[in-house]
Amino acid sequence: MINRGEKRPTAILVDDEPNLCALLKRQLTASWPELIIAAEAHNAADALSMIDALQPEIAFLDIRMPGMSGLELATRVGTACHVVFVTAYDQYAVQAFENAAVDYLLKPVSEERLRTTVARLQGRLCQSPPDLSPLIAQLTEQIRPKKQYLQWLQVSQHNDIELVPVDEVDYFQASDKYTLVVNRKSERVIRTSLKELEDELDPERFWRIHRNAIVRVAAIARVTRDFGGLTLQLHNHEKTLSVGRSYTHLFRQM
Amino acid sequence: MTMTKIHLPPSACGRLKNGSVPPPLKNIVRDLVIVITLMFILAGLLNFALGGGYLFNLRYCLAIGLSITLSSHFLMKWRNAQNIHWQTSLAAILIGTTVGIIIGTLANGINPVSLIEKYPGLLLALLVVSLICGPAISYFFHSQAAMSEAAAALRQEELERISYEQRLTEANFKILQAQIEPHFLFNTLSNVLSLIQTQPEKAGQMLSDFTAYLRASLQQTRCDRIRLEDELATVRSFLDIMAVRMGNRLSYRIEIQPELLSVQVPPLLLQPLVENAVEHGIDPKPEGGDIIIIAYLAADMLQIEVSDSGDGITSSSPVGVGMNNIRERLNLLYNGEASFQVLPNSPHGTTIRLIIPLHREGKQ
Repeated sequence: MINRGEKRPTAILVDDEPNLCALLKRQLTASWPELIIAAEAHNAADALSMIDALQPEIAFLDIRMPGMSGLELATRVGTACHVVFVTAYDQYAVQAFENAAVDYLLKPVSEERLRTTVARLQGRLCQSPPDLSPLIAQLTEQIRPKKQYLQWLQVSQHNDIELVPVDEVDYFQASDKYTLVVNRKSERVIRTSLKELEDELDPERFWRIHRNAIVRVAAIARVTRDFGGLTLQLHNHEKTLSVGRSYTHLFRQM
Repeated sequence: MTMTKIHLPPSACGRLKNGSVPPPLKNIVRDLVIVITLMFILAGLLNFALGGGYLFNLRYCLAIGLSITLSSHFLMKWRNAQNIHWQTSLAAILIGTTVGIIIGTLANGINPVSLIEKYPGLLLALLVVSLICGPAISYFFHSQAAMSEAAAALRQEELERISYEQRLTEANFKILQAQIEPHFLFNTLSNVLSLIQTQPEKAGQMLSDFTAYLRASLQQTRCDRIRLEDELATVRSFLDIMAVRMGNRLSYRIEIQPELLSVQVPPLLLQPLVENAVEHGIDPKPEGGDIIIIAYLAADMLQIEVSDSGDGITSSSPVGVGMNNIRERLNLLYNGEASFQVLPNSPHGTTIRLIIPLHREGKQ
């Protein structure tokens, strides 16, 4: 029962898809007529400034949005308001949400499920919003990529500049001031030094095997041992690469 | 020199295993055992036919047989060949016979020089027997080697075919999986649900685009080739759906010469690129942007370009699963004849250019 004198709760809806904001707004109006939808935002940056200005009690946040995600947005919002996550597909552990004092809705939202959420929110409005940072830290841990390694090389050929994924490269070889970028189809030149490449490439996928060469591990077909030391034969290449003395430990017998 | 074949997992960071016996040594031991056995039998036969004593015949047989075998192995090694070649065999028989006769004669206590003057009959017999038995033994090894070589080639071919089919099936499966990605499905359905109440006509249009898209995704992954026109229809359905969902932040244009509409292309080649351009190019920009798809002929190859006006790729942008998948499929389907280029647009955005061999309808 709502007292006439009591302040009506306010909410903000955040979804990058306008039609989905509109749908949720209509559904909320039907199942919770007292709720005032103070604003709709279609990206996280707009949402932040609106929350700051309007100070709503509740924020409905879409999780997957371009730019800042709903999870990141929730961390920024902190305990300023109660958060309900809305997502098309639950790629995160549902239990994580259920354990924390936070609700989540799956799109398309069913009227019945929305009524449960509304009832829960009405019960929680008198309490201060919970701190979601541990939960969100746990969730973002699952999706955040680890260290960002070099993925693309910018290679110019004639007048064209082309972007080549590093996984297309079989080996890099130092040559005067330049570095040769070699795969089975082509041999191109970049200005990045082997040292810089070695620092930026994923060390699990690329090995420095010589003072003048870095090889993509998956491109190695055979390791040949002869009097001179170790020689690598590569898939689809006739040319072989020799392994420098100080790099033979990479290929040592187990 | 030892050779070790290694199989590296993509993320191998451990050390490589080494070992295994090189095959040539095993072969030489096996061949010597066979030859020695045969020589014991041959010596018996010759003793029966020509007389002279078993040991006398055995010394000759062993000397000549082993000389031929060893010289053929030596020649193979010297020529760095994996298997016996007829020229090698001939040279081995001639050298082996000469050396074998000399050694056998010495072993039997006869001066080799006197062989020509005193025992021309014996020399003739030795030459005749050697030149008959030598090629026979050589032929036996030759056919053995050829047989095992043929079996190995067949096995290798089979392995390659299985791995090719496996990789292709895997690539196709991943494409299908990407087509029916849950976020795309449920967000699209939610949009339809929203529009049904306010703009029923638009909802109907969206639902029919969605149906066309799903049908094409499910059917076309089962075809080897489809008409470019059909692929573009799937792309249009997808872009129309996304334009509604993104609240008109997305616009697109398709430019294609009419005669190219009927060329044959692998299914779902273009669609993942367009999806990539929307997701990573246009969607992250609040103001949205354009996608332009053009197809044309250049140097008798079909060139298709998908351009977006997004923020472009940085050196550490992840390489999309879709992009890797298309590269892999192009390599498998066109055996290296197709190419895939990623070009930065000026002032911003990305163009993906596919260059694939032209396949007209009805032609392979």
